[in-house]
Amino acid sequence: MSKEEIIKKLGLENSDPLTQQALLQQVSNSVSTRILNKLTELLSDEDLDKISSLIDTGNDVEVENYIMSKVPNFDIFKSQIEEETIDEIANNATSITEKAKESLSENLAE
Amino acid sequence: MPESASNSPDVIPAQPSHLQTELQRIKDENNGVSETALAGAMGNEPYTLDKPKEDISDVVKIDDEGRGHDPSGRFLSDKNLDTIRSNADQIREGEEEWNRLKSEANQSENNENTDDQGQEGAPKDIESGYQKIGEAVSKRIDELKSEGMSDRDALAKAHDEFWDRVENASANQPGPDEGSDKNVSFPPEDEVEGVPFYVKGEEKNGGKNDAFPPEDEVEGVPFYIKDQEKNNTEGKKDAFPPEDEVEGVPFFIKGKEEPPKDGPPEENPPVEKPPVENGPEEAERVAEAALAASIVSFAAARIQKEKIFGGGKQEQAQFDTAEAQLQQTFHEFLDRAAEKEAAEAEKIKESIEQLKAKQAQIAENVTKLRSALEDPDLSQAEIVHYTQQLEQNESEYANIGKEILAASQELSNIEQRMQESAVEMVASIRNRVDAEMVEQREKAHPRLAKVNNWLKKHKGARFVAGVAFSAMAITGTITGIVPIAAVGIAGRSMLGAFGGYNAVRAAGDFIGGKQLDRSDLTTIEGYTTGAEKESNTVRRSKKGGAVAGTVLGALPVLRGISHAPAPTPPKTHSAEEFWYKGLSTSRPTASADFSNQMSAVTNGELIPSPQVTAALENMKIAREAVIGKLTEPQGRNLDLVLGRLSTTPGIGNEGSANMMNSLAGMLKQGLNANDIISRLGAGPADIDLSVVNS
Repeated sequence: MSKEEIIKKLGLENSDPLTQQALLQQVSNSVSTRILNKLTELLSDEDLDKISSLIDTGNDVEVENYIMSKVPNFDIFKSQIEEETIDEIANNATSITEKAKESLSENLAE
Repeated sequence: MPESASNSPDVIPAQPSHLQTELQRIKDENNGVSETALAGAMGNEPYTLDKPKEDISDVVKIDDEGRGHDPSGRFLSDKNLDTIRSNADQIREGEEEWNRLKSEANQSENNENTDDQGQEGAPKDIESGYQKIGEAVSKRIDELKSEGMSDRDALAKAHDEFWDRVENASANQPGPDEGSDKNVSFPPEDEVEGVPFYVKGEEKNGGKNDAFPPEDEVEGVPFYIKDQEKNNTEGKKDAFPPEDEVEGVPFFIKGKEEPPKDGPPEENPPVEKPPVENGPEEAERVAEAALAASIVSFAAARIQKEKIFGGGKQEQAQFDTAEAQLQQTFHEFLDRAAEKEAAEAEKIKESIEQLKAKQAQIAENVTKLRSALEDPDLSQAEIVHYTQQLEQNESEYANIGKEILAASQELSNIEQRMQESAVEMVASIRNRVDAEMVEQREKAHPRLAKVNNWLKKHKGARFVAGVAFSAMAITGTITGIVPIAAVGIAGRSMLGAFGGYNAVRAAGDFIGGKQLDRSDLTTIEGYTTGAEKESNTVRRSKKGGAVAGTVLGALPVLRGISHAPAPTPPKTHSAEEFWYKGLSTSRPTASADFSNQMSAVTNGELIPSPQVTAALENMKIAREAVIGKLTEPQGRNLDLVLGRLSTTPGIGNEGSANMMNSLAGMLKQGLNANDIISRLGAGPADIDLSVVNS
């Protein structure tokens, strides 16, 4: 997904660039936290032992490689989470706005 | 009465400055004459004088508009606020006295650890009281945990129960030192009710927060002061005087006599309620609290379920309940958030009307001033005066015009602002759920915290950056437990654009401090009930019953979290596909049989027996419980084996949790599908294992 596609999906086409950037950052934070969450689900106790010892050695590349070996097709894994998260946020946000608009128009009409 | 006071030529009619001076002098002399008595004798009412307001924000909570609030956030009447103001010095003295006593007690305790028991009201007893409270709460936490409650829930529930008891005690029992000469009393053993002494800025029992309310509840409650006589009547809930009581000494003030009381005990003073109560903002706050609690509860149930290899019934039931609750509170929150967004838009509209009215008034002033300036008989001083006023009014007129313009632009963009606000809100909820999951999982697996910390520090690494976001150079930041974003962007931009006029300020009221009625929020059920109750209130109050969950019911809420009963690996292979590969290689006709059967089921021509359907569902559940613990190759081997076993006499689709556990164990030992098939005697070990690594 491109930046424009995400912005459109989130309904932010008419927002100013600074707001767009701020909200994209927030959504990106959500994606990252979710990826971390899913990663932690996939690691076994043995994995944690191994990674822990690798961290102690200070070899970041080894740590990274080991984790990557535990999640084949890592980019697919991340893309799925990312797309799912964006979809979810977009759907729910749009629904909130629709409901708010409905409420607003009814109240202002009274 | 002092002669100087009664004979003063300045007192009839009283001039504020003279009376103030006289009162202060008499007070300084400490001759025992109360201000009220003196003022009454002088034929004046001191509290009605337009005297300069003393700053008492260190004594009682004062908002930006100068209104006082009691500890629960309710408005104080002007009379009560004036009464507090007039006794501010005594209140401060009481605080100083308390601090001094506490300091002495600490010093004494440091010098020699002597036993102070028997000295009622001494600081040692106070510390002891706090200690008892802490112990009582800790004991209750242990009880709740022994009943199966999580650490977090037990902690929250125990504290809520404690504060409920305090509130109930305050409402139903005499004042804290009634019937006793001691000034600061603490409850006896096993009694936590009636804790009277919350002093702003006080240390919290050596770092223990248990015995104190949240920060925003302790401000402005320093009223139980040494040597005070009480006038708290039985049944009075708080230390504030009745609405109609301005004379006498309303608090426990050093050296003051209790005024005689005639007639029956007075009821609690009617208190004004903040305008936001039961409004959309408050409803949203309650719903937010309910949602936050549900997230914690849901995460706990989810983590608990992960621990059960095959998925126990009890854990499944707890998870189902937590999931349903999360969905419900999520919907409730979104409903309230939408209503708040709409209310904000209405406020902007109202603000514009108010600004226009104010502008019209200023325009009228300008016309009058211009007319006045045309008078040829004006003195030079008058000309200067009117000219200055005219310039001020014209300037204000122009400023209001700018604000009207800004508000109008805001209103025209309101739908866009609503969407922005909603994105922010939902993203924060999404984040909160995942962060809660991570945090709880870390508690269960301390080694995981180390790994997660490493991942958080390497946020630029491939693991935790979204693919699309990485491409646009937006690196996500992994966050911990953060509050749910409840303040809309619309509100913030609005505040940024507007000035300080009261008319406009009303539009930004929604960002006021969060105050929840703790009495309704003692349990998770309480949270939900509170949200529902609030919801009903709001709906009833809506003119025409405008909104009630119309759109949100169809939402895919928190998709991917609440509908994933167990951790799942990335969907890089289809389970059905590998089942098929597992069985088709063992029996040449199986492929055709399988395809035909699946088509028939899909077309509705073949209806599997309930037993078969149930068995298959059980197998799927058992599989889901273990698949997340396996690597992708191990998962593929597992599905190959399951396919084979489905055609093996005596096994079929009866994939129990124990069996799945055994299979997972063999796979973790390094066995592949053919190894396992051989070991189980489930037909020829001739599966093409190249599909495992393809």
